[in-house]
Amino acid sequence: MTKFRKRNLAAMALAASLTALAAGCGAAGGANNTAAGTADNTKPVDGGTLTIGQWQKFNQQFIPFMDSSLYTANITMEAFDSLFNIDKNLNFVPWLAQSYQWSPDKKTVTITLRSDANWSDGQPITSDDVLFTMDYLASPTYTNDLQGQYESLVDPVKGSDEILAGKAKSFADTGGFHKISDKKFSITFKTADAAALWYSIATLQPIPKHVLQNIPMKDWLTSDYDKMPTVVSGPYKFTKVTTDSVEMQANPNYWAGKPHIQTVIWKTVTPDVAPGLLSSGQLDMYLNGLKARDFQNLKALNNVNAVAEPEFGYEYLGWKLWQKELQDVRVRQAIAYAINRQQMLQGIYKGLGQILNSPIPKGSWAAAPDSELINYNYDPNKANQLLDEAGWKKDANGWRIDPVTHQEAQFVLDYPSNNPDRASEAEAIAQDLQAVGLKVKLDPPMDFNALLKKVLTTNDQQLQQQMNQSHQIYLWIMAWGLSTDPDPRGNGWTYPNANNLQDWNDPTNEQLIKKTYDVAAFDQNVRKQALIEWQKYFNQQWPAMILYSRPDIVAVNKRVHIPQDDVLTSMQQFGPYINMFQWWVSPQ
Amino acid sequence: MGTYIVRRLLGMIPMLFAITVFTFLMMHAAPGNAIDAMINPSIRDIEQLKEHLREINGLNDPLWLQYVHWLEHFVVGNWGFSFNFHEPVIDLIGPALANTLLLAVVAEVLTLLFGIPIGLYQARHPYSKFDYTASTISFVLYSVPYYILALLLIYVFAINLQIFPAQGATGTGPLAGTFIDHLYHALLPALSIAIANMAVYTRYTRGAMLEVIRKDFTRTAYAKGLSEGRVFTKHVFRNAMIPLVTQFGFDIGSFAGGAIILEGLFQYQGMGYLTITSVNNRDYTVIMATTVLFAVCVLLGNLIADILYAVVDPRIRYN
Amino acid sequence: MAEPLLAIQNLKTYFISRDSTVRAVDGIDLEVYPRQVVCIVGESGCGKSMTSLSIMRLVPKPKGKIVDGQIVFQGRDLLKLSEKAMTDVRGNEISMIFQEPMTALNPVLTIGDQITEVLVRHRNMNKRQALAKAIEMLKRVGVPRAEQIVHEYPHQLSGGLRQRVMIAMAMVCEPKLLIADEPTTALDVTIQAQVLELMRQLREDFNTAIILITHDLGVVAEMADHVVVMYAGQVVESVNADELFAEPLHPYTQGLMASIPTLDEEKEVLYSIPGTVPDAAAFPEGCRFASRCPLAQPSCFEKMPELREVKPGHFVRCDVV
Ligand SMILES: Nc1ncnc2c1ncn2[C@@H]1O[C@H](COP(=O)(O)OP(=O)(O)OP(=O)(O)O)[C@@H](O)[C@H]1O
Ligand SMILES: [Mg+2]
Repeated sequence: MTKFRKRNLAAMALAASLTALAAGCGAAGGANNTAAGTADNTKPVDGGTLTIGQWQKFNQQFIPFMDSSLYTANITMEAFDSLFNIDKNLNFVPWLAQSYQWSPDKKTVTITLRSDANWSDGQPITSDDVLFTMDYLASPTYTNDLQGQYESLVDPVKGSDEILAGKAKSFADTGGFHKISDKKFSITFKTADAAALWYSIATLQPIPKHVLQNIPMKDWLTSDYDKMPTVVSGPYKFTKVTTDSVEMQANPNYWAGKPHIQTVIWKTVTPDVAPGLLSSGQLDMYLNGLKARDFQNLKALNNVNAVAEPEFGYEYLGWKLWQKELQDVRVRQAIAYAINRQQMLQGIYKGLGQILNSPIPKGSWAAAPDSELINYNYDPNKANQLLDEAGWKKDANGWRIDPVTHQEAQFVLDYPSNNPDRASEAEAIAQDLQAVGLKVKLDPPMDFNALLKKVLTTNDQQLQQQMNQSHQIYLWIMAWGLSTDPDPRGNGWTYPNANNLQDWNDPTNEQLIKKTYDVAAFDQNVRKQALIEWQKYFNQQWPAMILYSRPDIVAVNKRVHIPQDDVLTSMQQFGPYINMFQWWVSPQ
Repeated sequence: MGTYIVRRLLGMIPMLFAITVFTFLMMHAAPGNAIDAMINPSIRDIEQLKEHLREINGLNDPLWLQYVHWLEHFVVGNWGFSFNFHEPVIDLIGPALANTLLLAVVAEVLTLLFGIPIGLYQARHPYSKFDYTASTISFVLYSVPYYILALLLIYVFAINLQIFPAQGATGTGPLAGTFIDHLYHALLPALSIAIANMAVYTRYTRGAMLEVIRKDFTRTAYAKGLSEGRVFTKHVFRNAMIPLVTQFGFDIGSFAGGAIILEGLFQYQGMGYLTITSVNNRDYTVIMATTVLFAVCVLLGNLIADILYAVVDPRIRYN
Repeated sequence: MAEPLLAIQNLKTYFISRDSTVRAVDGIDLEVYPRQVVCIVGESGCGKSMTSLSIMRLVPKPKGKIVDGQIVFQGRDLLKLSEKAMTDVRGNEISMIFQEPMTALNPVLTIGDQITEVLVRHRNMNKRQALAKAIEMLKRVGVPRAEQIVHEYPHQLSGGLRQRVMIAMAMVCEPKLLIADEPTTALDVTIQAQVLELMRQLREDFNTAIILITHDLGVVAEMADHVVVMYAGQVVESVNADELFAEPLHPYTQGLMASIPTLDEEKEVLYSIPGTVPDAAAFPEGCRFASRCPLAQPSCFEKMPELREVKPGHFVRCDVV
């Protein structure tokens, strides 16, 4: 195993130096050094081909929400528009839904679809298509037979439970959906919830009822339409799908105008090879998976723009809040001060990425400004001081005594085996904690599922007791990718919640979270303020050690012109945020 | 010969059986079951859903019954449904196996085509300049991980010279998916495998030839007045083949496994790639199928080696 | 007497490597007349095999080299022939059989294959003619079921049969000279006798001269017309067989005679010559046997004795006798 890793490292080092080599003798060009995402005054040219590489293979499941792979979703989002789009600050903006209006009780939203939005076969996109899509996601067939994972997108809508239980067939019958006209409908939620629209219906990508209604839903998985949808709503149509690549052509009937770029090709490309292919121009763009150590080499290529932005998500160090030792907030804060996150980013991610002191990354409109938060800068003295205050005395060997057990405190740190960076992070954390006298035992890396299972089972009462008695304090490293809406519930900060792995059960927290989605929060400013208040509380309580957002590196050939409003990063959750139909490529 | 093969085939049955049991138990014991793996933990009523899935997938039956059901289905080609790809496993394995076989055949042809003649030439002129050069090069190539070799080949042939595709098992354009297209895409990864394997074959060939050259019967052959060429082709080579056959059988056995790292590096959609993707996604039906297939291939490789063994060595045939 | 069939003069075959030169054969003279059986005897390592391989020009490459001398066969110096011309001699005019019938036959080729290729090579026969001839030859050397055996592989035959096959293979082109390097050592006594008898028979039938290498003086007594005794790469005594047994002159030969087990004594009390053979990479200056010789004089250690004719036809390399 170690041998294998060594070989791998050597190979990667080589790959990096090869990139450098390619940079040295790289392709000429880059006359106008347009940085990705900057304005471009030249006149767009129509035509050309854009070749995009992704590092994992897509699945041939192109009906929206059929497949949970990000790499599939990146492709389907060019073929299927969603009701709302996102702006630069992650605000939702009308898209297929031209406008929306809340009822006075804030339970019902009335949405008007764009009158000019048609399917690629000329049929209009209607309220019926939206209902059809909602019914598909709510149906038991979707969850059970198709094993879909996006039932949550309709979950807050009135009647979702009856449909899932098989007691009703359609939201039209449960009062969840009301068709007003072909282009106008209303949706009624179970409760007045300021976040519900955004974390559910807003990202819905309607599917064509007139095509799919004739196929039993159970058979969608194996249908030709799923392998290569023929009728689409987005800027690009599927023209060729093989096991290795997807070829798309501009949809001339796209409501927002025919896209400039004629052909888009999606390929699967290994990160080790991607820098070379970018430099030679065989690849125009690469998403998700470029390595931090390649960033400088990529930047040095004179035909490529490389951007490293913090991902929309974070890595964190988790613990169980029912462990008596961790119930003292000073201990949690001490851990925060003890860990040198700056150095971890430097060492592991070449200084890219961004340290977070709250669970809402800075890219969001809802992120609390730094001035409102305690900044847990690396400060071992402060950590020592806090531990002293909390009564964690040092023994003769310099190790701290657990005030609960009166023995040497013993932390155990687990991390998943799916990424070699996790091991470096675990080692760095262990070292930093040992430096303030907290003894840490590193477990061998665990399969991610096994780790998740371990973390989840400790919710069990008996196990809690056992763990409390075993004198071990349990830590783990994991990462969250976040959905666009900053709702704290979505990321597991309420109790009970399947994603609340640290079992944070705190009435103040619950109250603060409630304020982020209650009736008053329908006012965006109120909601924002509530979210900031909640972040301040979180930041002070520190129920988990938020580490940082890792860097997300995107590289694009300079011949690709991207409007300023489109930011080339964190494709992950933003779907149609990247308006590729507005891009254009310089003729070769 | 016929009975020999039949006997060997029958001998494989208990092995196969043991392999299926082993695979089944291994998967059963693996961390995180398939149901956990495929469910988004934020789904409501998660336990109920899990229970439902367990029930419809027969995971609540006693273990032996689960095994029997699985085996029954497996034998008739019903290898289950992939949770990850949403396709029948057999439909996934088919093209992946075809790709891997193509890769393996091309790689083996390249290996044998160059490896053996180079080894022969070395053995014929041992300690010559050519021999030393070839030995050194093959030692270097053998010690370089083929991952690095593959990267180098990609950079040279796919990125700088652009005469081969860098990634994938098929391309785009009008030829996409044709045999020519597949072959074209298989060449570079096959070359990476072949270069490393070639080193093995030249060393084996040279070593085996030199050993046979020292044998008494080689001297007898010379004493009969045969020319050197004739001695080499008729007497020495046929004997030197015997150890090579073992290596060849081993190669065949490892084909179906595909070269996991290599296929990943080339994004070559073969068995190795399918397996690693499935392992990452805990796609148990696929993993079980590929595991059994690997085992079968190893057994088949041994069988083929044994048959070839018997072909080249009459001492085995007549025992 | 007639012209010798084979006349070796001052043959030197050395193994030359970077740090040593092994003088395996160091100035041998030897003559073989038509139909004559010449036995070469001597202790292990004295250069018997290298002498015979030198005649065939099959000294192990690349270290072994014939550095000096002449091997005149039927008037031609074999050492001057081209490799191609030499292959016409091997297996055709001069054949050789080896000690180990187990390993001297190719395990993956049929007996028929191995015999017929000689005929195809030297007699221009087609496969069918060659096979008929091979079967005839096998019958002649007393191989039963010859028609089947040509289709069988060496591992299916007993050791005695294999040596008969070897002999058939060697004799099939009716060579003028057969070199047999310890042909019976690996066989049990009764089979040994049969094989020797067969060789004698073949000499009668084909008028073949034989160089028979052995370290068994019993075999010598039975077969030899003339005997050459070798020690440390040199000939130390050369004489006709009768006289050798009647009056061995060289102290080494006398020692060898004393080592023959007498047939009536059940227990094998072997007289062995004390001391060891000098290292072939560093021979002493004087007589190479002197250090073991009961008759050695101080002068023996200084000057290498010449091979001299002490009696008509009796050559000895010793200054003392
Ligand atoms: N390949 C070789 N390289 C170096 N020295 C060799 C080689 N073959 C033989 N010799 C040396 O040459 C000398 C003569 O060897 P040869 O085989 O002729 O002995 P021999 O009389 O046939 O002995 P034996 O009765 O054991 O067959 C020996 O000293 C041996 O060590
Ligand atoms: Mg010998």
